[in-house]
Amino acid sequence: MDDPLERFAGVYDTYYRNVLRYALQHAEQGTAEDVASETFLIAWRRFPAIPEPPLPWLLGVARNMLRKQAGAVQRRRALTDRIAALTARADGFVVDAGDFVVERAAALDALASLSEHDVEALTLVTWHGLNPAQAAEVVGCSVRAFTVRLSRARQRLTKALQSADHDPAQGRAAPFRSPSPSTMGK
Amino acid sequence: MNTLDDPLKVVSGLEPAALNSLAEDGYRRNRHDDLAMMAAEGHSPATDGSHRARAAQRWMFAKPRWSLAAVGLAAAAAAAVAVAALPAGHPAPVGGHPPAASPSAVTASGFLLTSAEVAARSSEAAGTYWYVKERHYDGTAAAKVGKSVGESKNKKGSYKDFGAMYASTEESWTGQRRARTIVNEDPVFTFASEADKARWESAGRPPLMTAAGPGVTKPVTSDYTMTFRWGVGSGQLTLAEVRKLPTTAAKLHKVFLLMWNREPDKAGAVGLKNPTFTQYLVAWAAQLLDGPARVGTKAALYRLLAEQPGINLVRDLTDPLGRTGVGIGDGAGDYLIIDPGSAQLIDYVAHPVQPDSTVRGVGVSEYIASGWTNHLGVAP
Repeated sequence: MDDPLERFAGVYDTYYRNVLRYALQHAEQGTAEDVASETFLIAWRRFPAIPEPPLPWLLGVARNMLRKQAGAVQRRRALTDRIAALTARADGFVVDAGDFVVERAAALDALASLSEHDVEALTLVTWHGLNPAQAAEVVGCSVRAFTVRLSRARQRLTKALQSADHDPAQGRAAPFRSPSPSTMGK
Repeated sequence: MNTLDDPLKVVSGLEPAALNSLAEDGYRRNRHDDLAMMAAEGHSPATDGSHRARAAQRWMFAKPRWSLAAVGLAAAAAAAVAVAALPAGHPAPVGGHPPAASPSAVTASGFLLTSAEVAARSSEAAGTYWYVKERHYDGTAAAKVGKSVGESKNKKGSYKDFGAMYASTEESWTGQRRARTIVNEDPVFTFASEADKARWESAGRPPLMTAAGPGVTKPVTSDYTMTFRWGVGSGQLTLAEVRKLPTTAAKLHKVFLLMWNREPDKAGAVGLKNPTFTQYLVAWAAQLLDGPARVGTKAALYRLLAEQPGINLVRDLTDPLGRTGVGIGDGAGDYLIIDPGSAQLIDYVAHPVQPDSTVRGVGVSEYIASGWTNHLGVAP
């Protein structure tokens, strides 16, 4: 296979859906598809000099683009609002996590009580299937820093879920806090 | 007993099934056009390693979404615009018109109405490309210095976090189907504290991310052969559609209200959990007041904003370039800064401001120059 485009098409076919899934988590469908397409156009211009494996690098490019796109009005993103918008009735009323069962709305509330960095860390390793080293590459921090971030996010989510479990009448959680400049990723 | 051993299981359970179906749908629809675009561009392997990811606020792709025809107002568009001669040099200088929008008219509504009158007196012009020169102040972080295909497998990568800010200037030329951007002009890096800077220096001064790639200090030019749009959320307008926007507040209100009512993700579009229509309009104003809209449309937009509740005014704001204007806030902490003499938008600030102060820091965008030109790469 000597044709570069043919080889690159293999990269596109393998990873486009992953990149689009990530973008859909942060933006409405039209914008997400534009970001995904632009990400691969950028990758094509660098090809074959893109990192191996390419997925963390591709997600990092998309992440940077999404942050700058948000920068058009320079606002923080309501990540769990996107999750809520994507969630259909067919996704079920209850989240079953083994011995722990929680109402989907309560689980979303618990997630919404976390910072945007916490939610990002949790979803990168679950929904997008990245290991900590790969996820660290996406957000632009050291593996150690990401591992600590993920651990704290898990602790905070546990606390939030257990708090909701003990008091189902608890109201909606506080909104996100914007990331500070010192912790902003690439 | 409801026991939780791993919260990651709950996160996994929250994953919307729609992500997979939307991703599959997007892949099937876009694959052919995306690869065709790459084929048309040809292949020149990057040799300088520069990261050309530039996600400007207005750069979008040729996928039809809202159009004036879709909102049923194409027939309401005004007659042909009188095309004046292109400005010989720079566009109208900030503050170069007789002052009329005095901030001593203390209400936001009063200032906006006066700005409408000032804007309406501007010269109408047109051309092939809308040119913008702007400077942004963003957070940044150290980039990875890592291996890639073809590099030695012994070369390892490393990351560091620092409280760094990156300021750079960008120029853009946007036509109906072609565009050019020059990013990373005059880059300047600063740090949140001396301690942060010391950490970066101790770490060997690892390259910081820029709009042109990690550690890149030179401008990068990119050419595009696609349709770009201005917009907020799902509402995206081509250059031609922006030019057709109405020139009365009532008709403009109808257009924006229709887009607002159809917007499926209002929070995502505006960037607030429960945004108001006013905040949606301010987001549009940030796009259009420095964009290729007609003079009449900009004036109408000021009149429309003047009618909205929840807008506040902050006087005597100075930007990093030393220009002074009036801040129009959306009630959520974001501000348009408007030059009262010309009614031009000179800054957008994404954080709260105080009267009689200098705006600075992450979240500031300065609009330095804009106007029409018939040639890519040539400023008005």
